[in-house]
Amino acid sequence: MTRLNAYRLTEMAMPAVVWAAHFVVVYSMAGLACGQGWQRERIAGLEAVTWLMVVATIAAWLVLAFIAWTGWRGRQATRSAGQPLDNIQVRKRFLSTVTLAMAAIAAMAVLFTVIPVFLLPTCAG
Amino acid sequence: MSAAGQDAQLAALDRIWRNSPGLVGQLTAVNHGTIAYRFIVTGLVFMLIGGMLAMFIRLQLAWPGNEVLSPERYNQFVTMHGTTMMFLFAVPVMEGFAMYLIPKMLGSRDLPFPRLSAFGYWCYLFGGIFLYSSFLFDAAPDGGWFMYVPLTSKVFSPGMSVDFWLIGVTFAEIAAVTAAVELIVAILLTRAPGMSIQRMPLFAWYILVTAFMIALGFPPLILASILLEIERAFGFVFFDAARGGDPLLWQHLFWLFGHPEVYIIFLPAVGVVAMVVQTFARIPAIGYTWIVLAVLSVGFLSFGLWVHHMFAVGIPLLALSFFSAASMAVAIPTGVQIFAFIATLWSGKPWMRVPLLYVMGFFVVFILGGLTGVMLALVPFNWQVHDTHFVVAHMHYVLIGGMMFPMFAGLYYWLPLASGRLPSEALSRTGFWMVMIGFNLTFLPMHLTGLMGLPRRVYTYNPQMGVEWLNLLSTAAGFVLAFGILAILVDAGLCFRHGRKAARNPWHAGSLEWALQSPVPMYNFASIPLVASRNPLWDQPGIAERAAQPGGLLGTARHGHRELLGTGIVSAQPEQVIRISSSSWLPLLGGLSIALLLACFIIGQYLLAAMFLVALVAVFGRWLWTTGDPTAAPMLEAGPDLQLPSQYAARNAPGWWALVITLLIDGSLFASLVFAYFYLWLGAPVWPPTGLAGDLLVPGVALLLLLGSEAAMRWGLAGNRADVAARLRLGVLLAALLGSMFLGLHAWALAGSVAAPQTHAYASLVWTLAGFHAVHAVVGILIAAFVWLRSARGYVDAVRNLEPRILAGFWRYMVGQGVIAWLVIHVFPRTLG
Repeated sequence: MTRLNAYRLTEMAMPAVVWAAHFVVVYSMAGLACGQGWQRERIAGLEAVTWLMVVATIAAWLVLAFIAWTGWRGRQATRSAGQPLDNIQVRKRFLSTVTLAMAAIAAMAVLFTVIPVFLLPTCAG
Repeated sequence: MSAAGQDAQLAALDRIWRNSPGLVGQLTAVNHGTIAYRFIVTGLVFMLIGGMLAMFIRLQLAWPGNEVLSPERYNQFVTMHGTTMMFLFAVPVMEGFAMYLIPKMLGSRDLPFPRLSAFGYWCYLFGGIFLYSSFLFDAAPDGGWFMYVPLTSKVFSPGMSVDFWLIGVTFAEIAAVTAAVELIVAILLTRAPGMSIQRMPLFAWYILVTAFMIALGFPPLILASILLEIERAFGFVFFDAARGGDPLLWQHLFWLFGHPEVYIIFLPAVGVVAMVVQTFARIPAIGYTWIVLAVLSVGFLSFGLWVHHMFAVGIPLLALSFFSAASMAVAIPTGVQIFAFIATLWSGKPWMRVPLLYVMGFFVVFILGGLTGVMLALVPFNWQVHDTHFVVAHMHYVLIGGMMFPMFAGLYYWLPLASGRLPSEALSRTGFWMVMIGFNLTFLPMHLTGLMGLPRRVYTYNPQMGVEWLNLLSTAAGFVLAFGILAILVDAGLCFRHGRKAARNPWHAGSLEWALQSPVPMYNFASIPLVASRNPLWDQPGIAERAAQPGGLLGTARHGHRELLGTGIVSAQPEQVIRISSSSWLPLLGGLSIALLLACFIIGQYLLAAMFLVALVAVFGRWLWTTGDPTAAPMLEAGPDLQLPSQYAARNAPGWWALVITLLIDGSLFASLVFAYFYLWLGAPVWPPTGLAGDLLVPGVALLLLLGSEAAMRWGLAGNRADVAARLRLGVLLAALLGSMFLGLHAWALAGSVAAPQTHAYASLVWTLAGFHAVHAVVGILIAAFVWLRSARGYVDAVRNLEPRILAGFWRYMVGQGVIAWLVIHVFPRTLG
């Protein structure tokens, strides 16, 4: 994946895009389940749609972990042995730090979103 | 360079950049400083008008049973107060601040699309006047600033009031959308050399994120307004439940815009706070990276909150919980910013001048509003106080605290730059305390009246509720607030004539706009400065003097054109010389054409409206033809020993990025329409209601034609890369031809298989989707004709390839959108539907 590069401006927005995609997916699943009765059968005690939401969440976390890893690697690559960093290195360090931290924030936001799935029945009204 | 030579250079720069004299000069001006002043002054005028409406509302509610306003008038005033403050004051004023400051802060001479900002301004002004002209026809909007259906449907609002709102607001919103394109491109491409991304002033980060939020957040409302207007004007069905529509669709689309809107207002204001805090703490911001991170997260998270305005409409609890979670999560990055500012003040040596005083006011008031916001994010509490004055109190604490206080901080902070003078410290402190005390005494009691059950938007209340004394207090204090705001505006106005003369950079700030002398030259910088720090004025002695002398980058007025220096998006290395347009009538003519078009539309004169549409297309055609300087050589001299490509030959040309951002906006509009389709499908028992007619043969052939047009376009572009102009023209012509054939065939296929749009929501959606795409295909064909002509005139070749690239980019998007629309229309109902 050469296009994924923690030194690009778009990269720092990617974790938030993942969060948004996850949000849209679980919200749509809840809508489909309650509007059209989609995936309501129970599997191992939970509704199928709940399991699908769990899968979506794990997928989102995996993508975020990967982005975080590119950010981490980008940050490590700009570490200098004692001498001060030049402007290009400072810039790369800034961009990869923001990417890494954004991935962490997005992972927390995904967790935040998905907590109610385990606290409430799917279509409680 | 000799002193006389320098003066001659400065005079030449001034001649190139100044507006023409007299009234003509005012009507044709496009300079960012001039346009920004207009946005700010017009916005403040609308604030006064909206404030006056609020005073009438307060008088009416001062005591139960008052008869200051009739119930009908009260509804109109409440609606217009909210609409004015949101659409005609808060957003445009902050855009004005951004337009004024961004080029100066980034070390540029102007915004990259000066005519676009001027056009946006005229749309804003005419849209506002259009909306208020409804009072002349006794048709002022009265459905609330959120215009909920079915109250605003043709059945329950038969007059023109809703049409005035939908058309006027959408018209004024053009300004927000054009400003978003303008500001994003300005921030990404026109920073001074050396101002790489991590050295960008925090204000620019806030504006960048805000502009992206406008690009994604405004389209849902624009789409909703279009849908409601065509439902009202032509009988289409989107919100009428009896024919397969759903009134909740309106609420979703409205709040999908409406919640990000709050942050669109709030973030630029916090950007102001960030600049004021650094200057008056006299140290660079603590936690620059954290603040950037927080702005980015707020920008995204705020899109996951919209349903918290709809907690009481009967959506399943789990779905509500997602939004409740996001609503609480957004408080975290907001808190990070506040703590970073407090840490900065704590570590520095705060200098308590009036701008910082307003920032203190912002901390107090906004944090209180934020805390009630967290309370409202909790579903059960929200149910309890829904539609009461508690929400009114919360909303004014966040909006006045989060936007007005920072705006006044910014006003006082940048006043010496704009006027060259300092306002009177005593008078401005008086204004602050009147606003602070008046505001809190007006809105703090509303928390109580709300908890006691006083409903919002109702023209009176029962004396037995026991809230009359609190209401009287709110009204009285409201007048203190109003006089405080008037005092501030008078103070700021007086400063321009009677203020004490200020030296350059009177606050000893570190950001680049303070390198400018006052009055600020129309070209800002005589030589584009070289930046090597986040706070160049603190760390680079002499930078202001060097930037005021000609001879450096773009420091020679040898071309006779207005020129900007284009730099790399992340690195800010010089990349191109951008020639921009000077004063022009076209923005005003464009705005006027739209105003006349919409006026004819609202009175049902569709033929006349179509004629003004032709006029508008003609204006835009002329505009495109005269963009920049098509005769510019591929390489231009940018400074001593520096040759750079002109924008027509540059990879990161501003026109290209404007296309990308415009397509983002358009994509959001299209996504909202597709959302509407699936939303109505979700609630429909059978889809389509009368079963499917026709097969996939004719639509399939149409799709092949559309894909064929893309192939022809690519073939033509490859021809241009090989510098074969004839092949470019042939490819473009073929693509346009195939595109037209697609349009004809697809319309014919739909006419044979889909009922009239007035029958059912399904038919309305199919026709609207197809029509939406058809408009794009027509625009693509018009651009193709334009590029064909440019190529025939010799303005385009393998090196100067910007215009064919833009055409090809738009065409690819149009075909992609067509494929998605085709799948939704023809494949979805046959498989899942």
